[in-house]
Amino acid sequence: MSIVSYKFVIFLALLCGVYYLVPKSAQWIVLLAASMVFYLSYGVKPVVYLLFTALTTFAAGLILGNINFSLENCLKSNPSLSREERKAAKKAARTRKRWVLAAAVLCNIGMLAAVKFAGCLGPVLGKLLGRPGYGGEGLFSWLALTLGVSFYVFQTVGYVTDVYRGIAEPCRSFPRYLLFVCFFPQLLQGPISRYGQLYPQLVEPRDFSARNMKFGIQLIMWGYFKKVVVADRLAVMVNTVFDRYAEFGGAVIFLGVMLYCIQLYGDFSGGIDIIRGAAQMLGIEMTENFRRPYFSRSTAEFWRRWHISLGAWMRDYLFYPISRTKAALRLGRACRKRPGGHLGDVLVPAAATFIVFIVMGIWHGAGLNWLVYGIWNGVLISSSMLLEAPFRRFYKSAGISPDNPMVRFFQICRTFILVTIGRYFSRAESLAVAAAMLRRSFTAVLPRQLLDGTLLNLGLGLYNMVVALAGCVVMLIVSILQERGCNIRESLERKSPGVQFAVNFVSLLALTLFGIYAQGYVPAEFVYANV
Amino acid sequence: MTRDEVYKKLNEIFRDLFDDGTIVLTDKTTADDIKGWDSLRHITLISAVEDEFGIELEMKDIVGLKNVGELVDVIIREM
Repeated sequence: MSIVSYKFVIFLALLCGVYYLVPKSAQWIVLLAASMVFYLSYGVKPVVYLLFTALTTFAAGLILGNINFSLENCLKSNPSLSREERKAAKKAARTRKRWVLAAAVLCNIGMLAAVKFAGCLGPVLGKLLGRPGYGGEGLFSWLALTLGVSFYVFQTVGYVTDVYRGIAEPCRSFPRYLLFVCFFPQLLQGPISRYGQLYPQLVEPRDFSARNMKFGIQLIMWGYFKKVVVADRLAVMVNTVFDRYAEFGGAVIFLGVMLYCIQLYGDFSGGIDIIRGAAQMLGIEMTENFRRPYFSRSTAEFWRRWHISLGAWMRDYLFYPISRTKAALRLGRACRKRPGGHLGDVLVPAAATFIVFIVMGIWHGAGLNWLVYGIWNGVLISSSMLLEAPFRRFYKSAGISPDNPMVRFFQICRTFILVTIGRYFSRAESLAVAAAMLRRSFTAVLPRQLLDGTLLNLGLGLYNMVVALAGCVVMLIVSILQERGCNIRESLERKSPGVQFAVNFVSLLALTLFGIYAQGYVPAEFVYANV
Repeated sequence: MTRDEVYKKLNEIFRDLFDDGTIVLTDKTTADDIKGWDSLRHITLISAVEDEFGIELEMKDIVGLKNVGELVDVIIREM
């Protein structure tokens, strides 16, 4: 069931009712049942994949926990062990744990890779067998990409790694662990939660809180606003530009890609707000996933504000392990000893960052355009790390303060343009199309198309364009207030009941009047639901 | 090595790495207090600390540190 549907609203309302009426010890069972019902509404096959991941990572967590426990017992009960003997015991345990971790990670990342690249495997096999046109029918069709697989695989690999590192205790109840894996709000598009942050909230009893209920509903409404008033409207124009790019000049194409940036933000962050709002109604706080990313002053900062949970996952489970390999440590030390030693400080993190972003690109999709998307971001961030010191010296010698408002504005605009260029590759259906659109953006600009009525023929019409623009202005105002530290819901709570009612009523009215709910309307599928 | 001696060396490492001679660390100092202390710099910082104190930190310590006070605790524990 889509989270933008009346079915979901009714489902959530019923769930809240049952959740707060049952005995507190049974609340987690209600959540588990609701989550399974939610996921089963998408079919049985997705549940099979989910159970595979849950079972393998649960088992791995138990084995790793037992090895940790045995080591701890051994060290405690033998206090006379020398430092070298203690190191040897830790090393032996670490070796056993590595095998278990590797098995769990390979099984699940392997499954993720298989379902992501299944579409490519058929034609490759066909070429090898001399059967052009073979698409893998009957062989790879069962591997079709399944809903939310990227998110729950990453979430569970994170759990297993945390147990390996001794950060988390293993979960010893499979039904409760299954709830952590399949908690319905996060299934479709994250956020990628950490076991230590989410699991205790899921299994501990929750009291009804009118504040949580109110804040949750307000956050859901805000999410719906971004999705059905702004994002789905912009999607019409964006689709037209990308589907018929050869008919437009570079100015319209570039505008279309910029609108895609806003559409994607509205779509993804709107979906996350609905998810977080639903969780808050149940008294559960899910991790923030967006923090006004288009106010970023660099690409590195952008990725700390956009899809925050993915960036944090990549940092903790990919970037740090790559940077801490023996080869990376040796390279870093060797560079630091040479003249220009500061370059050695950034060389290894820059290289690790580049690798991480290639993986991040491929995580989004199997096409070459996604690989280029990852390379683009990796090159931007790695090069900015390597050039940071020279730029700092330049600003200093020119007497320019980095906090100068004009400098900040320039950096924000520059970052937005660089992000927009990356979006050519993430939105276009192929690398060839992305390249053609990018080339056209610079070689056949045709700026007059911005003023000669072309924009009115992109599928929306004047009325809907005005509504979309007004929606974007509302989003911008809210973002500016939040960037300045204002918590909108808490500020509203301090106002009089009359003001609160008026704001909530106007919000609901805006959703009803301006949401794209035309007869026969099918809400545009969430962009990240099939990653 | 005493806690003060550890702080003396850490201050030098931080000032050199972040190019800021005014840094004075306390137990409560976090990444939010030091301009430029992000995850990319964090890994460089950890390498510099390991080289300076002749220790090897585990991943759970690198990922889980909440403030400089915890870093000092780990350094003293590993030395």
